[in-house]
Amino acid sequence: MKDHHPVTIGQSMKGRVISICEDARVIDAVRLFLENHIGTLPVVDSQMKLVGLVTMETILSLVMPDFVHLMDRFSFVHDMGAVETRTPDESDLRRCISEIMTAPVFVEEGDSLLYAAASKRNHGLRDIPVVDAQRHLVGIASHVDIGSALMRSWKLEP
Amino acid sequence: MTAEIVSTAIFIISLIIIFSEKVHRTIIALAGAVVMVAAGMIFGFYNEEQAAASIDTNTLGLLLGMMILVALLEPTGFFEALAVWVVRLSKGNPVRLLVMLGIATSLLSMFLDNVTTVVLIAPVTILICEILGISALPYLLAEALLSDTAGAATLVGDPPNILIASAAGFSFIDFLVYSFPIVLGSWLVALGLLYLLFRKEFRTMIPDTEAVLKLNPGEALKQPRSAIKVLIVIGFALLFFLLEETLQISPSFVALGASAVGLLWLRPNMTETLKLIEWNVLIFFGALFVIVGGMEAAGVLQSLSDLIAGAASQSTLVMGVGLLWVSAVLSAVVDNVPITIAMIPVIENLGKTGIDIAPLWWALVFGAGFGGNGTVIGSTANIVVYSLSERTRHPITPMIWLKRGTPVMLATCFTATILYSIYYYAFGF
Repeated sequence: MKDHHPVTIGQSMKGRVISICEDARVIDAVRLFLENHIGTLPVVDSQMKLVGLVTMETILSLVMPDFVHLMDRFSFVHDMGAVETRTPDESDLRRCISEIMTAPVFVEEGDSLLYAAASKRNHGLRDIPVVDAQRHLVGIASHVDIGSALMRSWKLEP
Repeated sequence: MTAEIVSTAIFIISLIIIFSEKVHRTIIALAGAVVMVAAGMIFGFYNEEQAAASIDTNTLGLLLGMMILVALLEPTGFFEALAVWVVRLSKGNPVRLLVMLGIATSLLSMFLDNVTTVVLIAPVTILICEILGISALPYLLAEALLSDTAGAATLVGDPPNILIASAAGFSFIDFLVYSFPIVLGSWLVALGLLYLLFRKEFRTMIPDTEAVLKLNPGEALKQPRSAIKVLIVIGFALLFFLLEETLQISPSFVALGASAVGLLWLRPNMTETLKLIEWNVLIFFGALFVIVGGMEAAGVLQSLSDLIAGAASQSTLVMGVGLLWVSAVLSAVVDNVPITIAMIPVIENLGKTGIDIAPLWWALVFGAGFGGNGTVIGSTANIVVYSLSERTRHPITPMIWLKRGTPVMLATCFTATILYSIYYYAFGF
């Protein structure tokens, strides 16, 4: 008999989630990334409802050279020269997080693990926020959390 | 009379909205074309069949063919390798880089369309400038201005030349004899003026040359075999352009034929190849043909010919110089393709009155070719460079163009006027 009650994402997520308020500044996000060694920050409103996402990629795009967006291939550039040491402008660091955040991508706590893995994969994310029925942030699951939980259910012959 | 007023109003309103940059130019052109056809049907001066017939398939076919060839060449890394080679030759010196990039862009744009040239050279220019730690703005502006200027030198260098050549019966060789020397003189003036306009910026640039000198052109050329294949196909296409008269074939047939051969030889992923085609530009051109076609059907262009024919007592030289400047100013405000399309029937009508129109065709070549440099929307190459720069941290603004691009347009037109007059008296057209 097959198990018709698969493990849900709510059982495999991290319940302790570090988030950022929508009216915080970019510099606050940078500090949170550095202090907590994380790669994704769910953005919440005052009721802890998920309103957006800020990833490390978003922040790093502030110093990314322009040609990276304009060229498909730059594998012949091994040294970025003058742009290697570029730091974000003061004005960029002072911008409100809601200006640079992307639309919220999430799964609900009762959703299946494979659905969470597929959703995360489709959006090119490393971590996916988990919300309750009212869209309150209740956790976050990384690709390692989801992948390990899925692999644990596999029958591994010795 | 109503038809003339309505069609002119649609044309001018479309141009104003395009110039205001509030809505994407292709959307406006398409909307303008639809309004023109609708107005034509209501007022009885234009219909769907006439609109379809007004689209110059020769120009669109040539553009599409060249775009496909470039789309085949682009993934090979040829353009990156060329730019890397050029920057290494310049040793990262800002002024030398301007000259070398200017020469490379101009040579490319003499054989490829200006738009394609800047589409390929501009991103790698931004790469080089970012690595050097200098502003890409002077170089991007120079590439657009010099490719527009150099493009006037050959039959395939710029769409107006194709239109004029097919209307006047000029060959590829005619362009090398009559256009190339005048373009060369004007090009040198443009380059000199660009140096003068940006000399302060060049003086304050402190390029970080170390990383750039480490770039290897051989490494940038990813698929040398494919690059050679496409270059052979382009070489043959140029040969057929030269033989166009003898073989009685159109440039668009040559370009589309060459692109078919290139596609068969390389067999690339078609979806990826078609993504590299500037559909935007093709639709914009198509829609503009429909708009200008409406004006022609309404009789606006005939009235313009009659007006000029009234002044035909003037010498051909005076008329030529006048036409050069009128087409230059018009080309600065609107894309030079519709201007050229609008001017061709005007010149043909003048020919019917017995005037020697050969000098007028060449005046149109220089006016339409150099006039586009006047504003940011004067030529498609300008628009491409402008749109690319918008995606960078230091975008070119219409104001920057007016300060740095417009003087170059005026200087090239002035030089062309002098050389044109000398040519007129010394050799005749």
